Amino acid sequence: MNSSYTYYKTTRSVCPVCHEVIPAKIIFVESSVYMLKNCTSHGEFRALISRNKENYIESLKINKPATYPLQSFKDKFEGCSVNCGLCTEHQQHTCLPIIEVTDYCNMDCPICLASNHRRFNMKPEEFRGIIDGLVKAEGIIDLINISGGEPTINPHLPELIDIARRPEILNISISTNGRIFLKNKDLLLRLIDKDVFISLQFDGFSPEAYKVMRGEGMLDEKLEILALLEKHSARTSLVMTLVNGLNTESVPAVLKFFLEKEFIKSLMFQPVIFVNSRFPYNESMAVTLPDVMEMIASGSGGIIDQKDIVNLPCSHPSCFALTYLLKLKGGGYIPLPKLIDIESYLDTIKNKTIPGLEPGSYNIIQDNIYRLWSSSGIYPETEKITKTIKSLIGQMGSLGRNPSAPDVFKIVESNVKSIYIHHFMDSYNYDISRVMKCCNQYALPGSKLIPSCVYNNTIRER
Amino acid sequence: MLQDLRKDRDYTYYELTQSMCRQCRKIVDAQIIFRNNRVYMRSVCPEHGATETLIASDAAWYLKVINSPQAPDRPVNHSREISKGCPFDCGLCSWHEKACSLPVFSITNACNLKCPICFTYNREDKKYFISEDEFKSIIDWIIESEKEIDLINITGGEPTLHPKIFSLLEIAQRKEIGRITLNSNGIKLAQDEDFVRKLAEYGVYIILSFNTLDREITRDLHGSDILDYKYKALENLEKYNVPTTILNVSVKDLNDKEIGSFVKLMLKKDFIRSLTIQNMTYTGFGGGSFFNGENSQREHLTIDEVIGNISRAFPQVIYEDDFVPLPGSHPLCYSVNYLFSMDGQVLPLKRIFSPEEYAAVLGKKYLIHPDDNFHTMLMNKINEIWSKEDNDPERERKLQVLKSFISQLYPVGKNLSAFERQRIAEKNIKTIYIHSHMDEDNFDVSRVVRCGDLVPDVNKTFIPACSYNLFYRMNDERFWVEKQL
Repeated sequence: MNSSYTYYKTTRSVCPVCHEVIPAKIIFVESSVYMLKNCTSHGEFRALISRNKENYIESLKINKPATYPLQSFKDKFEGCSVNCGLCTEHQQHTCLPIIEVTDYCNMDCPICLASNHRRFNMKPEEFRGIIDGLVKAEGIIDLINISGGEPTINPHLPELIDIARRPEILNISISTNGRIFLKNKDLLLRLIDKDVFISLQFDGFSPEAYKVMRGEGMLDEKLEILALLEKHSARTSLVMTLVNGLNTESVPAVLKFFLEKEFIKSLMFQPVIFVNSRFPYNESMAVTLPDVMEMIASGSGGIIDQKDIVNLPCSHPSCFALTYLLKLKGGGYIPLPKLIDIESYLDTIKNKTIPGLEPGSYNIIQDNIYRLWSSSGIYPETEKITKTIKSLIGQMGSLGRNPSAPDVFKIVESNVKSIYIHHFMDSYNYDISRVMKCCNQYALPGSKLIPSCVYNNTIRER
Repeated sequence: MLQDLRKDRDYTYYELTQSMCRQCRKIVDAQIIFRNNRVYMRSVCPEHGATETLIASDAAWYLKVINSPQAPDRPVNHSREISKGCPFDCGLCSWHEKACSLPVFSITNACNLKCPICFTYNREDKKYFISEDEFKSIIDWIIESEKEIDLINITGGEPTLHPKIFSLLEIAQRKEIGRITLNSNGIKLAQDEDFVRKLAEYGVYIILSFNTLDREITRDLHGSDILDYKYKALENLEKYNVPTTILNVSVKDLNDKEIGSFVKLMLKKDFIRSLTIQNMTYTGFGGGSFFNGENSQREHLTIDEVIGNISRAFPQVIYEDDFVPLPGSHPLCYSVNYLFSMDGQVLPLKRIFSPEEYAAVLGKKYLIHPDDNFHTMLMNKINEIWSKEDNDPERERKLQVLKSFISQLYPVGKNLSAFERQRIAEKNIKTIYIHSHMDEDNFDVSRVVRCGDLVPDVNKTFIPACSYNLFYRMNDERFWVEKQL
C-alpha cells in the first residue's frame, strides 16, 4: 500500500478486530478517499471513506460553531472518546438523543447495528431519569428518538411516551420495523394519539434485498404496514438502509413513493455500516455520502439537484446531509435551497434538523420572497412558489406574534418534506475527528450521553 | 414560553489531531479550530488544561493549502516497525509518509554564541566534535538509504568551530550528494577570510544566520551585538563568491517587520541565492523560555503572516499567491516562492506558469533543475506569451525576463554542463523559503508524519527534525542537558 496514494492527514480510528483506538491516515486514491490504519496486533486496514474526493474536501468546510449544552454531565476531559459523558470538550450539544428502551426484537437482521441480547425492557422510572437528565442538559429538545431493539415490544411503551411528553420536548419519534402494528393496531392508534412520529424501517421494493439485509423477504408485509399507517394518517418517516448494488436501485421508486404520500413527512437514507459479523465488510457494498447525494439527484425526476443537498454544518459535515422540499400549491415540490441562497439556508438549518423551529427561519424566507418576485420568470414555477409562500406566511400570521414552536412546526410539516442522509460509522471508517462533533447521542441511565458511533463501535457488547 | 438558553461556542471546530502538552510532554488531543477567521490549534491535556496556538491568520489560506495535498516523491525506506505509534517509533517507521529530502545533522555542540532564541542545547561542559569515522558512516548511511540526494545540511552548534571541518567536507564530497550546505552564525567567517576562501574551494553553500539589522534587537536575539560580524561575513562570502542562503529567524513583533529588508538584500546580491524565513519556535535551551512582547506570551508567527509581510514590502512585485507549499511537504511546514531576478527585474515564476506547469517546474524537490525539459517549457512559454493577444500589462516584461534568462542558460552554439547551468540558474532564480518548525505548542502528528527534513544517525536511523527536537533530543546527551531554571 506504499504505492500511488496521496497522504491527506492523520486522525485516529479503531481496530475492526480489537476495537482499540489506533492511528489512522486519510488518503486519496485517484478520486476516492480512504482511511488507512494500523493496529500493532491485527495489522493494516483500508476502508472507503468517500467515492468523491472533491465533495469530501468541500463538505468539510461546511461548518459552524458548536452549541454548549446547559450542563455537561462530565466535567473532566480524558481524551476524546475516553469515558464519554459528554465531556466539556465535546463539540456539539445533544441535538438528537436516542433512547434504547429494549434489547428484545421480533426480527434478526444480518445488518442490525445494535446487538440484541434480549435481556431488558426499560422501566418507566429509569426512562424518567433519562428524560430528566436530558431536559437538565438541554433545556429544550427538538426531538428524541425511542429505539431498541424493537421498542414496540416494551410493554411500558405508552407510559414511556407519556413521560417524554413534556413541554421541553417538542417531538418524539419511535424507530420501528412496524411489524407489531399489523397485530396490534391499538398500539399504533395510541402512538398516533400521542402525536408520535413513526420512523419506519423501509428498505425499498426488492424482496431479495430484504432477504439479505433483514433475513426475510418481507416486502409485502412492509407495504401492508405502510397502508395501515396511511389509513390512519400516522406522521411517518421512512428510514432506508442502503447497501450498494443490493437495494440502491430502489432509490428512485422510494423517492417517488415518498413524494406522493401525504403521510410520509421525511425520508432518511442510512448507508449500511458493517458492525455485524453476519454482514462482513465489503467495500463494493459500501455507500458513501456523495453516492447517496447522486442517487437522490438522479432518482428525483429532475426535482432535486445534487447541490440542493447540503451537508449539515452543526453535525460533523461527513455525518449528515439534507434537503428540504417545499410543497407547491397546485402540485409538485421545489427544494428550499433553490429558493434561498445557500448562506441564509445554512442559517435556517443552523443547529436544527427540523426546519422552521426558529422564528428567524421565516424572516429569511420572507426576505427571499421579495427576491423571488423581482426575479419572476427565472424560476420555472414562480407562480406556484409565490402562492405557496404567501399561503405559508398567511398561516404563520394567523398564529399571532409569538407562535409556539409546536404550532409553527405543524404548519411547516404540512408544507415541507425533508430528505436526510445519515452516515453512521463502523469500525472500518470510524474517524475520531467526526466523533468529536457528534450531535446524535445515546442517552443512557445514570446521566450519560455517548456519541452513537462511539457506543456502537467501542462500547456496545457484541 | 420556553426560552432556549443554550449558548454557542466562540469558535468553530474543524478537525481533531494530536499535539503534545508543553508541561508533561505527553501526546494529547488537539482540535483545529477557527475563530474570527483565524486558525488555532487547541491542545487539551487532561491534566494541564487547554492551550491555544495560532497556526494560520487567514482561514481561507489555511483551507486552500491544507486541501491541495500532493503525492510524495518516491518510496520511503522504512527501517522500523510501528509499535508505540507516531512519533515514538522514529527511525523511520513504516507509518512515515515522506522519504528523506534533506538530511540535517549536527557535527558539534560547541558554539561561540549563547543566543536566547537557541533551539538546540550546546554543551560547554561536555564538548562534542564528530569524529571522521562517525561522519563517514553517517554519509554512507544517507547514500545507502537514499542512493542520491539533492543536498545535505551540516549544522551544530557552530559547525565552523569543528577542528577538522575540511576533512569532513572532503568525506562529504560524493557524487551521490548534489550539494553540501553548512550553517554558520558568521563569526568565524568574519574573522577568518582564508577559511571562507577554502570553503569556496570545496564548493560548499553557506547558510548564514542573519536575523536583524537592528543593534538592539540583535542583542535581544543573540545576547550580544554581532551585527558587524554579519556584515563582515557577507563581505567575505561575496569576495569568494560562496553561494549563500540567508537564514532569518523571525519573531512576531520583534524582527518580523524586517523580512522585506532581507528579501531586498537577497535580490541585490548575486552570491545570495535564497532566503529562508524560519518562524520562531519556542523550543530548546533558549527558545523554550524565550518570550517576546511585554505580556510573556509566546506569539507564533504563521506562514501566511510571513507571506503577507513580504508581499506588503513589495507591492505590485510579489503577490501573496506567488507562494505555494513546497511540493511534497506539509503546507504548514514549508512555503516557497521562486523569482526570476535579473537586470533589476523581479518576476515570480508562479506568475508565468499555470498551476500545473508550475508544479512540473518545481518537481518534488527543494531545487529547480534546469534540464532540457525546463528549457523546452521556457521556450514554449515564450511562444505562448508571444502569440497570445491579451491585455496582460506584464506581457513585455515577462518576455524580456524569459528571453534574457534563456540566452544566459542556453547560449547559442555553446553547450553548458549541467553544473554550469545550475549555477547560472541559481543566480537568476532566487528563492524565498518559509520554513516553520514545530514546538511544544503547535506540534502536530499530522505534519510530522510527512516530514522530509531528517536527522540521520550512525545507528542507521532517520528522525524527522521536529520529532528529534521535541522527543528524541533529550535522549542524546551530546545535544541536550537538563535545564537549570
